[in-house]
Amino acid sequence: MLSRIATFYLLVLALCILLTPCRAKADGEVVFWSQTGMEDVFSLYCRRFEKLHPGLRVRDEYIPWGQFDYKLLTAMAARSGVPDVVMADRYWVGRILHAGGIRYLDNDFDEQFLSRFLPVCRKTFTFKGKLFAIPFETDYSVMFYRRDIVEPALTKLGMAQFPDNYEDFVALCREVSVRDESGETTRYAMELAEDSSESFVYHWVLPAGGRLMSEDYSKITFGESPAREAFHRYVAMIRDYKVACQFRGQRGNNDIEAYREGFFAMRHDGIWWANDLRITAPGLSGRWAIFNRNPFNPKGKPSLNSMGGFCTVIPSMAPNPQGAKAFIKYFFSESLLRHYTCSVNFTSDPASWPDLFLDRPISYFGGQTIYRAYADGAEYTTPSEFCPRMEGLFEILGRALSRSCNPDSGYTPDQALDKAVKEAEEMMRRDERAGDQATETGRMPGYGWNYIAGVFAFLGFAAICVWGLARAGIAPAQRVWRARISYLYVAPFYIIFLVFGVFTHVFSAYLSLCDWNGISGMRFIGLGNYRELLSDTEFATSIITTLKYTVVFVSASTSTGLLLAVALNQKIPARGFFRLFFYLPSLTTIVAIVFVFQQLYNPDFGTINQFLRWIGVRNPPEWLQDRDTVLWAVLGMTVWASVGWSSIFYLAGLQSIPETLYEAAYVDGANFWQRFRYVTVPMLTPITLFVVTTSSLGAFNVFSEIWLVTGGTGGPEQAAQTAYFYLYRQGFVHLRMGYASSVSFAMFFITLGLTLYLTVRTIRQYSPGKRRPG
Amino acid sequence: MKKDTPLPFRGLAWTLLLAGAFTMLYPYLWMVGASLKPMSELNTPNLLPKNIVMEQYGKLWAMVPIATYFKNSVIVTLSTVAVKLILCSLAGYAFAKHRFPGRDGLFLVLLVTMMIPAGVSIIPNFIIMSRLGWTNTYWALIVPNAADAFSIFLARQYMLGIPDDILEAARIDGASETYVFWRIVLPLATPVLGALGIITFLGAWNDFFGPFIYFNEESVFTLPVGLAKISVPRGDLVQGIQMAGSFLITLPVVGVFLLLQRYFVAGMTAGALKE
Repeated sequence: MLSRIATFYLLVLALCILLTPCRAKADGEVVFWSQTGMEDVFSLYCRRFEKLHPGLRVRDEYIPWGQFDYKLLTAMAARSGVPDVVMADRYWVGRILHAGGIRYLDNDFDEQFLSRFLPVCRKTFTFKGKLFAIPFETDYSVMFYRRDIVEPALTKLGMAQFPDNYEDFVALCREVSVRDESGETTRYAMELAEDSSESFVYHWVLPAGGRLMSEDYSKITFGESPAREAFHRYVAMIRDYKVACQFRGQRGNNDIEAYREGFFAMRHDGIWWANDLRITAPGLSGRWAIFNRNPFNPKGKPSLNSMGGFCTVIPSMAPNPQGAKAFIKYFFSESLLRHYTCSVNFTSDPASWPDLFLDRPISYFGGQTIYRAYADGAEYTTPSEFCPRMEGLFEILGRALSRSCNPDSGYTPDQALDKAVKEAEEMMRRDERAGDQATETGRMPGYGWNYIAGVFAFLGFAAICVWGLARAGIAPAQRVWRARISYLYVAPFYIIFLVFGVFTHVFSAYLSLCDWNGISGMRFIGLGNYRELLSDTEFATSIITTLKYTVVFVSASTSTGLLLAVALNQKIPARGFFRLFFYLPSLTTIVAIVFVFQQLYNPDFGTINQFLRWIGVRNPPEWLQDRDTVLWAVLGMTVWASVGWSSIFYLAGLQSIPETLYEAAYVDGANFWQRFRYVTVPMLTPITLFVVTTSSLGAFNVFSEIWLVTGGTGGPEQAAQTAYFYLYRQGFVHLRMGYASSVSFAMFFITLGLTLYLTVRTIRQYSPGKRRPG
Repeated sequence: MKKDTPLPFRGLAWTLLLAGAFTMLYPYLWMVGASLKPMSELNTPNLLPKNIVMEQYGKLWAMVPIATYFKNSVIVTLSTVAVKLILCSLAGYAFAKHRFPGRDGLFLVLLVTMMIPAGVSIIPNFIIMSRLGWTNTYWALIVPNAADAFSIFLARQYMLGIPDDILEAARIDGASETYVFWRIVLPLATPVLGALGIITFLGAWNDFFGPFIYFNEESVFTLPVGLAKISVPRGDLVQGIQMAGSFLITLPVVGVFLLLQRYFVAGMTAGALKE
């Protein structure tokens, strides 16, 4: 008896061990991450490296631009899938650096190697005197302009060449932009985003000598002098002079269309855009030119650009750092760099820029030697900045920009900037700056939580059994022995349950008392997280959003479900068909539902707005893109998906109500409506209770729908952010796992409180003595 | 109520049902329609394409490793269902029909945790998975879902209803406990196991959140998360491919549902009615 079930378990265990996937050996492999779009060039280089180094394999993966830091940080937190070499943009590097995720490279590469690079590039990637990345590309922005639009304007204004200071540049823009009789702008001078602060920081703040944070990253400085004036200059372009705007799909799906049509006359972007332009708009050959200085600084200040570009880092947890070094040495060989410069973009080693390439006149740009111009302009650049939480600062600045540019927001630019500084300071206060924690060997501290979990599970199981034993009393040992097979039956389920169902809750409680970023060590801080939670407005808003969502969801879903079930309960033929149709959304994965609804909710082409326009609504809402309607859009989708599910329950319930009750009521003279109220609804109470409880639980925990439909952002200005979504963002995007745990417990307490309150109320209503349900 | 529903009400019922069915179906029609549109017709408000082409499916096949995702989905789903059924039937039977010290205590703990929302455990789950080295493996999806309180509750509830006499009779006849379980209890429990199996199948096939949190390597993505992470080169439109993928991922489930409709409904209502 015992042996049968025990043998069974042993067999299963053996099978599991057999099936456990083996991890590829790290030594012979170098994992290389870069961005999508670089596959053609980089895979070529990787294969060449493999030929030169037999025995080493390169596994190259290409990641979409916006997901880099997230992927890398998640991989590091998950201790799995961390690459050896990462080649990507400067945008995310600061965050990973300050989380302790990057290896310092001074000891790995000698001075002879490092002195090849442009000093400004080297300086960009140095933090506290230590080098953390090898500069690969140079990337500063030049001004592309339509000669046929801009040159006549320059002549008219009496300018001999393209302006290199703000005042002259604004004059040019005002001359270039065109408005029609109704006041609509038909041509903007250039494209500027009202809320994308990245280009604002790189093209306007840094070149003006401003900084987001002080050199030692202890103070927020973007509210101070050169940065504040840059802010005003930027905002004025959009709001006051109205010569620039954000591209929002005017003139086609693709922003290149807008440039081709002349909707924008100028663009400030990297030299690589020249290639894009040539390929996608060949008809405009000869009509474009570039200017290699920055026209956004005021007169009298040097017209500098800020230097950025791809860099190469080795994560501190790289499984194969030796392979990584060999790979980088190969990547930075002269011939490879020359090939890259000529086919993609300028590398940061000037020796690899061949003169033949630089001095070639490009007919598309009217014979201008644009690459020589670019090379010359590289002298007039300043290094970039790498503060921690760059993403958070960009978000804050983006809000400030859009508040300043939107006349209805009630903020003047100065007010918006001050508010942004306050928000940034609050964010920095809340942040734990891991600081200088990157280690040479790359081994991060971490406790063996899996062992602790296992011990906990075992002890827990035993403890509960012992407790039961103590209650049993008589001859307990004998009873245990006789019941031994029961324990075997229950054990596998219960042990897993204890680890993943109970231990995780206990661990979460402990975690909520700590501060942790998933990568470096945990720090016990007592109730600090909870104190912060009390003054966290974003959390409070998210709770309100959650409550709003839950109430609307539950009431809409249950009432519609009941309605449909009642309708279905009439003697309807083809009931099975209807049931199938109603249940279809519950069978579909949420991803598919979201994709369809994203299209249906499209403000321009979507069916919903088409229908609204058809019935005469003139300005149908923007649904997913508008802060006020995004929550309703999500609700519409989720209620749609859940109506069928609740109607099935109600149908089953309706069918179980005995006919005799209805007959009795009929005999008593009740009409249809009265029968419904006094027989159907009370008899459905258990179902209603079940449906309401389950829907509420589901609504409280809604996450995937919101993440998917808002593309991971939680809606414009996080308007659709429920508490659970906030939890996710804090834990997996900002990597504040301790804080996220405290959010989850706060949610739990709130849920508990609400449930208790509602239960007590319901009990009081239904207690004996009251005849009719309230 | 069914006998003499006045005609206006029946008319109302029909209208409601037809409107409801249309609302439920329209997005699916859109899904199929958009997946058959050529690239030039995407982002137009027409439901049906003017030219029906299979272009989107071709692009889907070329750009996205659908076969890998499908394989992963199948493996994960079938394993999850198998593991859960085994675990829950064993433990459910023991909780229902055996008496052993600590049984009630263990069950109480189970009930209590049913009330704690899922959000509390995602981060510790993630940490444990990463320390165990299970991220980017199938185990991360199979094991945590194998032992949830709702399933065991359902299983036990049902098995309580199995008459003890049969079991006693078998035992008196000399059957071993294992025999009793395999040959008597399990066949009698087929309805609840079928229902549980289907609920689990649905949950595992359509699960987005699990793979989303635990997986970051493309080779192990399941269909939902693989679909969600489709990325296209700049300038291309992704909507058509999304629709094609959505349709393909829905098809197997609808097929299974049509075959096993009875068990679906039974499974869902089992939890509600037996309260």
